[in-house]
Amino acid sequence: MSELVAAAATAAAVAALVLSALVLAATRRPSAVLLDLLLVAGLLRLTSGTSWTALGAVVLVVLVRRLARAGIVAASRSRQPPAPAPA
Amino acid sequence: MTGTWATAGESTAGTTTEDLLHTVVDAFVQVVEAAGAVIIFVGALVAVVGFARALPQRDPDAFVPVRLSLGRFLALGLEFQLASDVLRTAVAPSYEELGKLAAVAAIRTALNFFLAREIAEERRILDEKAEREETGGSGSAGGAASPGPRGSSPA
Repeated sequence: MSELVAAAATAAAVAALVLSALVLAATRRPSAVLLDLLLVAGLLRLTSGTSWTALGAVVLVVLVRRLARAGIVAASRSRQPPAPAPA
Repeated sequence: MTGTWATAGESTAGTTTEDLLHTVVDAFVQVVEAAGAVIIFVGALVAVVGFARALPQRDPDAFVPVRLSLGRFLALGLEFQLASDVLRTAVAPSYEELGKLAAVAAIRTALNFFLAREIAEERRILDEKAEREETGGSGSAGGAASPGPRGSSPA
């Protein structure tokens, strides 16, 4: 089963890279698509046998993901125009 | 001599029961963990198709429902995997394995928590957008050029 899960995780990581590049090209804006699908890959890898190194890597990926998402949210909020003042 | 025989017999019976427990729990763990992995993978497939469909619209907001759906799949898959962690604690034989189990369960619980927050946030964004469109549609006869009373969407 672990080979199957590893193959699925690799497929998810490749899909993450390809789709995020396409989304960036289409919308010209950073998107969380890459982070979402990389999280899928990480969760699938966590399914098969785990070593302390693999666990540390997953923790690192989750932390980086949180940080990047916070950055994307802050960037998209700063791009929003302020609401017009009531007349 | 009789005592020795009795002790050996009890020990053998105990070992057999423990082996049986290990086998049964291991089988359950495999099934539940595989179910979690399948749910996560199906969610990823659905999301990839959804992202590919939303791509021609060139609208970042079009990806929000897809991400919401993926988040729901991930949360469900994580619940299954947490269930398998709980099952595994029944037969974790060493401190090393218990430590790894605790780390994996902590990671999955934290991820589940953050996913729930992100899903709530994405849902709020969708609701706000729907409300904006509703207000803009009923409030202005001019059509798409009017941003509506709460300002325009970032898209």
